[in-house]
Amino acid sequence: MDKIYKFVEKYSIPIIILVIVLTIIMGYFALQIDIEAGIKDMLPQNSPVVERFEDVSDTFGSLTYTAVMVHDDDILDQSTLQKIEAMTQEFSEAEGVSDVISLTNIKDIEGGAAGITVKEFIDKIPETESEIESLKNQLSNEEQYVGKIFTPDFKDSMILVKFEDQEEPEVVVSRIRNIVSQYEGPEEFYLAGTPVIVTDATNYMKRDLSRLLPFVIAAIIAVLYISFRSKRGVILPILTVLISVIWALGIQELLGKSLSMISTVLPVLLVSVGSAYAIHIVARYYEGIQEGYEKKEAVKKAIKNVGIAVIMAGGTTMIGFASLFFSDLVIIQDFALGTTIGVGIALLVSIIFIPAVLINLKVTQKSREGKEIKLTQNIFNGIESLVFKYRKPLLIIVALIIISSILVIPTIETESNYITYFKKGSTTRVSTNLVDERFGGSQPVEVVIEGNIKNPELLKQMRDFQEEAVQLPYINNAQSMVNVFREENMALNNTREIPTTQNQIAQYLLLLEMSDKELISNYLTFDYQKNRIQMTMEMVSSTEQKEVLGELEKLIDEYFGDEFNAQITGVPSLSLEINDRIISGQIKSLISAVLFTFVITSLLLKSIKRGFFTTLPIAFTVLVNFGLMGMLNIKLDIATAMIASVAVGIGVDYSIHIFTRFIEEDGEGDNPAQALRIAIRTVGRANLYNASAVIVGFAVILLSSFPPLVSFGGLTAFTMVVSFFGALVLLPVLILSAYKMSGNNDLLDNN
Amino acid sequence: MQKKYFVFLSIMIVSLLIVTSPAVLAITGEEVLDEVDKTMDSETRRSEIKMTIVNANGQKRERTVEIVSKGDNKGLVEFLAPADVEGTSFLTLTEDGEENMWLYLPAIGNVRKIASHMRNGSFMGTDFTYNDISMVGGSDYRSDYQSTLEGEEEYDGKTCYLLTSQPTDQDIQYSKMKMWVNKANYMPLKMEFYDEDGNLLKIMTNKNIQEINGHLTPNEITMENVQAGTKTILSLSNVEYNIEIPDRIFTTRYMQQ
Repeated sequence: MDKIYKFVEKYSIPIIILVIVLTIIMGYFALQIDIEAGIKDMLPQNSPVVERFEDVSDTFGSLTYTAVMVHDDDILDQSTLQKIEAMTQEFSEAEGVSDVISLTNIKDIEGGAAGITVKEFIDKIPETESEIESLKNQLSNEEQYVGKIFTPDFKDSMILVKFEDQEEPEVVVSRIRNIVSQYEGPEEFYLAGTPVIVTDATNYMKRDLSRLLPFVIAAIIAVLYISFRSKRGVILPILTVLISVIWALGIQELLGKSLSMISTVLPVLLVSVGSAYAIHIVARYYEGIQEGYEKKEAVKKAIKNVGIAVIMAGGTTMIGFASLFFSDLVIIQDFALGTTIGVGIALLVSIIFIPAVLINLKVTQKSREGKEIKLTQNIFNGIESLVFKYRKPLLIIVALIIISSILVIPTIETESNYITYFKKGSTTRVSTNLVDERFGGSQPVEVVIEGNIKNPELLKQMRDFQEEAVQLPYINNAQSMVNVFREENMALNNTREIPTTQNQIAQYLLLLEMSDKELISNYLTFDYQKNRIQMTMEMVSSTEQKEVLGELEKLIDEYFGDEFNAQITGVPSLSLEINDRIISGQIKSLISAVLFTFVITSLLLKSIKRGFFTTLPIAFTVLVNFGLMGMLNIKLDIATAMIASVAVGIGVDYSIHIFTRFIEEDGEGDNPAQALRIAIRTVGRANLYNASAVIVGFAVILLSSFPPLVSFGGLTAFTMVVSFFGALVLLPVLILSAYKMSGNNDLLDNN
Repeated sequence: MQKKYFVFLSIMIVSLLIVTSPAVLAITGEEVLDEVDKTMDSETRRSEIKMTIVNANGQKRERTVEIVSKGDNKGLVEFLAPADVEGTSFLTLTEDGEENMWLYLPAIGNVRKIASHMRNGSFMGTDFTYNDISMVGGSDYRSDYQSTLEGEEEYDGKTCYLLTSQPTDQDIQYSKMKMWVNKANYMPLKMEFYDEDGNLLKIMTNKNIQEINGHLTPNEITMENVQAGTKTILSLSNVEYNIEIPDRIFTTRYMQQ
């Protein structure tokens, strides 16, 4: 620590200049960072579920699409059809769009005296009433399109816009939105589909966080001012967080990373977390000044005495965030990277840049006086009496909380369906519900069956499977070669039977190939060996999704079993995979966070027992966090899954500071109870400032209109309260209890 | 069709009289096509063709057909392999300038007439359209296209006439075609087809040219769709010219036998 101080003293001016220059450079890069929102990007590329999804996309074309629903009194009237036609054209030309399917370009297999042809259903937009009527009659007989491209009452029509796989979905969604906005009125348009939902969620988060960030900063400034009553007590911590936010974003951009939906909380998180280290340094500096030390001596003492605790605290916070690397989801791993970098920088700035600034500032008379605010005094009086007078009742209450938390934890449900993120009346939710209701869903579910389509047995099984599959809840619109053959037979022989011999199938295919190659390639590979059954699924919770997909798997087994290799994929499969990974990742990262914290604190405090004591309050915090989630029925999703690790990272700091000060004081010859009192009154104060800033910072997020942000902000603020209590009340109580039980001092003497 | 040809010829003559180019070529585009016609012309033709269809991923499908034609107005295609489409046949008859097509699929039954707007559709799932195929079969190229001789160009080590043609028949989907015709024997070696936007769409090449019964015959014809990345290779065998083929073969009744 002496070396750090000497380095800072010697190079204080160059350090200040270097940090300012680097911050400007990083600021330039930070402004370029992109936000990405693809659902597939959340999972690692080598996951079997992603591989299967991509395999099917490569074979049959992109599975990512947006549903644009057109609502009008009559979708077949001239002006609406013209709009649909023009939009279809514009969508097709938009960059990132691979294919568009709409009422004006669907294909029809025509038969009879005129011959067998495949052509666009509507080759000329009807003008007169009678033309519209006859088109209606014609369309009503097209069972493959009723309920898929238009509703039987002709009030709604669907435009399916398929995305190219390489393009970022949110970019394409905004292009689509732009086009739609030009055509609005009197027709109404509703956008649905996973890309839209994920994009909306990201935009909501971006919007709310950028609106709330100034308030978060203002709240923290207020807390800091109340705490320190000085300008530098406010400016230095705020400067620290700004620098770390800018650098963290800049470095991520330089590493080629982009922000995801969840890493948009990064600035708020760093503002709350990053201020802590500066607060402790500045608080200890003031403590020294009030004790009458000279400026440089006060800085030296601050670095020497809290420096190690700050480094430890920062180190454990970094570990807490880094533990999220163990998540199986790429977006959480990226988040881990960003926060670990950000905390590391905040730590570095607090320990080098802040002292460098303090050395170059004058000491004011006011800061020599030091005032204790009434409120803080009352808080510490309360804490002291809790620790020393109500130790036993407190332990009983804690035990009860632990037991009830453990009891409700198994009831926590996981959720990876974004639609649950939106409020009931929100546009996103309304649109999705409408599309579900009118068209049976906007999420693609795909079954790919290996087997020669010319095998009549396979074709029959496919037909029977489809009939049963659509009986399942939320599953609709099954389409495959079965439907194409049925339409073809309708054109040829006025019956919707499927062909029943190999020769028949082969010749039906030949006839189709001569008429329109695309019609087949959507459902069948060139070698006739791979078949696709397309279905749609409504937006439902992960639990329901799991159930329905499980039923579908059973049907697949029943119909295709050993004879044909059949597999299921699609957006719901991806989202279930994300769901499973939330849990597995949560367990892995929590265990590693607590374990590493224990190891690090044991090493730095040179004792396993000390490490154990410092880690204990945070284990309690994590437990209470899940307990509250269980009690309030808050679901474990991508956002809330991070809270436990965040809590470990930030919360353990309080315990570390209390414990190191406790050791420091005990080493000076006082009895343990007295050492605890001093620790609570001194470091406890810095802890209080810090905790208040963090709690207020996260509490501001409660004002968000976006539910997942509200639960994230609320839960994090709550866990901070718990870990503050854990460090200032529970930890001293545990230490005292250990003394009482062992009746000697060896807990603290086993160096 | 003959009438159309005369109209063309007269237009060509008139335009030649008006446009007096300083570098007058010894031969006109239409004259080159006349010669091309002569090399291909025969009263009857029969051949077996193996069609290899290759998609953009390099996967292949193979089919074998027998093509028989008589004059420039009768043609019959019959599938020999694979077994599950054997007996499928396809008849083209041109009467009074109007082309009619019929299709017979044995497993489905009765003969079907194919609508005329399908002529630009894929021929049996290949990269050839019906129009392309009828050209290979020796249809009267000049009647559907107006051609100009651009000059001479080397292709595949041979001096060729380079022709560009614009379709005069509105049913044809191409905006332009280019043709390289071997100057030595009037055998077309390469053709390029341009789409409606004027971009190169397909390239056809004739390879392994042999003389059979006094007629130059390519044994391998490749059509490559450069936009879709697909390719069809026609391998010809058992080619015969001017053999006796009765007219009753070119009837819908015969197809069903």
